[in-house]
Amino acid sequence: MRSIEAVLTFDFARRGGNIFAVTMLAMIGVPLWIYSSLGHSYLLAPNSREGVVMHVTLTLTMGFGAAVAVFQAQGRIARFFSQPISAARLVAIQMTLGIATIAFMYVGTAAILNLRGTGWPLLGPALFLSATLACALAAIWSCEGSVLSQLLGCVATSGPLVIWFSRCYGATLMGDWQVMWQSPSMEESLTLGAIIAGAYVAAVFGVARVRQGDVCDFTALQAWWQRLSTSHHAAPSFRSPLEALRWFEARRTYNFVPAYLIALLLLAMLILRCGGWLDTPMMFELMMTLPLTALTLVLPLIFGILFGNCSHGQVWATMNQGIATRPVTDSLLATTMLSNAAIALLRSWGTWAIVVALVALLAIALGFREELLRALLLPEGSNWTHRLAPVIILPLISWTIAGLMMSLTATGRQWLWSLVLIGGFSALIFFVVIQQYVSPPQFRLLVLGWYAVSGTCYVAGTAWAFVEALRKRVISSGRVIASLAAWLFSVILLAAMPLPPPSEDIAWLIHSVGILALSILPLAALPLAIRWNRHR
Amino acid sequence: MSETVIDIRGLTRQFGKKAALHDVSLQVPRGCVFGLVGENGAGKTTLIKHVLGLLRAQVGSVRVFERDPAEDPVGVLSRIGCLSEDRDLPDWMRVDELLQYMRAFYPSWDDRIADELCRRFELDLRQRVGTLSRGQRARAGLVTALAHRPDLLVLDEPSSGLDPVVRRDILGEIVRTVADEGRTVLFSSHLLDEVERVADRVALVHKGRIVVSDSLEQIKSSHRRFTVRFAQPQYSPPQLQGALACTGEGQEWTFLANGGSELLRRTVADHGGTIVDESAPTLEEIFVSHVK
Repeated sequence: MRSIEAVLTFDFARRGGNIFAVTMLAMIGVPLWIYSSLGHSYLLAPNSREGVVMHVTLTLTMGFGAAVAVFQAQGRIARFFSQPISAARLVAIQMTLGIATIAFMYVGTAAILNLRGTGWPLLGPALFLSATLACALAAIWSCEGSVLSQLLGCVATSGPLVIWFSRCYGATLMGDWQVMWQSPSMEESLTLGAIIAGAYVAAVFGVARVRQGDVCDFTALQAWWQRLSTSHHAAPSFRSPLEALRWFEARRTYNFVPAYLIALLLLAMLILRCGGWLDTPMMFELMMTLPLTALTLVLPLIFGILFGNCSHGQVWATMNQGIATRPVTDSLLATTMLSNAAIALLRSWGTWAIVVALVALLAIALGFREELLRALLLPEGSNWTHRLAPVIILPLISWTIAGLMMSLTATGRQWLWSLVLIGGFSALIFFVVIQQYVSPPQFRLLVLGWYAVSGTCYVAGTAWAFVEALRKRVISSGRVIASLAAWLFSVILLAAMPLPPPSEDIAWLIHSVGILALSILPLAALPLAIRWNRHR
Repeated sequence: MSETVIDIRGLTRQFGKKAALHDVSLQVPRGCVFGLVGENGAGKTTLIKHVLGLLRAQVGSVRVFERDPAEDPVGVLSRIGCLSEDRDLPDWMRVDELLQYMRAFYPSWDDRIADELCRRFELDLRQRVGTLSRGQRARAGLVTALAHRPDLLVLDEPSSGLDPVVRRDILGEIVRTVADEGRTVLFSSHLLDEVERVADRVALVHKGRIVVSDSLEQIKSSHRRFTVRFAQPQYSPPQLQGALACTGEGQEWTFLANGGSELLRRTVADHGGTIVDESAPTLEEIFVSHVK
């Protein structure tokens, strides 16, 4: 390869190959699955308000995913600082690659979705995503050396653009999108073009400055914080290795962060209500539905990966030698990590419950009892099981997701992750595509078959993990018996619950039993993963 | 015969298609300072990782204190003090927190040794590990490796990042003190003068194989350096039987022989040459002659 452009393009493609494939699969698979689930209802109509909301939400989510993939593929810009290439040329190549990739990913996805009549616009969102990515890249490159500055820079540059994008869909600020942004006007296109050009110029200056070692960071603030935090507490003393490991895990993973994030979210809702941007029923509704998304899915997913990462910084790498050479069993390491995650989850759920209870008490005292009751009310005909089920099932789902993410990450094998992600999204796309070619009863049969097979696989996989963990002596027989008892108890509880119609299908029941087995799987899978990673 | 602390037999390790170790056998007796010498990528760290149980033997066996380190990490690691090449210490800890944390794992931890070493290494206990220089990190790592008086001290490239004074005076002294107390030291290095200064026994690792493994004395006495003067100038290196390596030009050439000194003497005579000097080679010369 003779030109620098060709070398950098090759480097970008080589580093990003797998990531782009997985992201593209997700970008196509998830919307297809959502649209297919909705069938031919009005939500598909491109000009309905629901259709607009769906498009904007998915575009922003997909854009974020694609941007992360681009960042991963490019790596740190500092990698190229020692190469004989000017800042202007380096920025031009990298920015062009990023912009072209994100635009191509969006246009490709939208074009495929449009075959199903979703009516997604192509040019406007592609231009917006390109401009936003250019600004984010400029901020990240200019603030190289300080993660906090990079984060603040990204928010400061992307935030206003996202609001502007929302306004193109008739929103006043965010969320209340009304009409589809069919195609950008000349002024809008020129504005976005100018933003990209401005981002390029800013990035060139930023990169040139950073390259000379003039890093924009918070060194003084950091030094002040270190002075403050190091001088006031004595080093803890530990009575046992378990105590030391628990302290280490808690500090290493910042296990208080999920609870703080939940508290911050709830506080933000309260502030929005006090500021008049949110009405009381909406605030209650948001507070009640928060666990469905953040606590049940998002936080366990992210923190599961972070908590299970036992390499030195880099995720999916060999276990840090400092941890691997401690004279403790694999089982103890896994137990500490699991209890650390459980504490973090309990704290998060506890924070949510306490804050919501306090707000509810405050609301009653201020005379908002009716609004509160409306938010708490379940659909007509619901019985006690519908009230009890979420209380048990939602924390159980969050534990299962966190535990499985931890176990996968703790293996330190990136290929395993790629396999799971590609397998998952491929299955999703398979069902979406097959739905087009078979009749609804046949498709239902196929889905039920899938439920039965996957449920059986989950149970078989869990049984295998426990047998293997026992055979390799990474868990005790007492833990196996306790896990089995917990699983059987949950199965009996499930059987006793008069659940909605799908429970009539035996396939659905097998699937549920399988899912319940997955909730105990981390107890055996994590020690096995630790052993596999620690003694390669 | 002295007790064997590390017993490796027929160890082979593949990483994909690359053989990192090939049929390696090694015995480290108790109380000795064992130096692993080799180029970068020769397989020294891979061998050390097997001793620590971080890699499992694919072929062959690894026994440390007569146990399999991968199967019994507690039994083995509780008797080992190790310093990794990457100095894997948690950045967010303060030095005093690091010491307290490590103390919890070793019942034999000696606060007196830890304090003494911290003083000698001039470590600031209130400083965060992340703000330590590379040399200071190595010193902090050494304190944690030594303070529990391990039966086996495993040091992977211990000199990396240490300044010459610390390297020569402190590290050398520590290693010797540990060995004098009847404990064992296994260390890897590519600094041959350092190995020559401290090691009792040496293994030369080259492309995943042990090319020489013996006591330092034996290695040095079994190798000889001959300076030979030929009657006529030689325009290419003379091919003499028994010679491992040869350097020089014109009439005067230097040969290095291993064991076959007599054979070399005869061949020199056959080629019309005269041995004008004979001396013991340095470890570096021996190493280079084996890997070239």
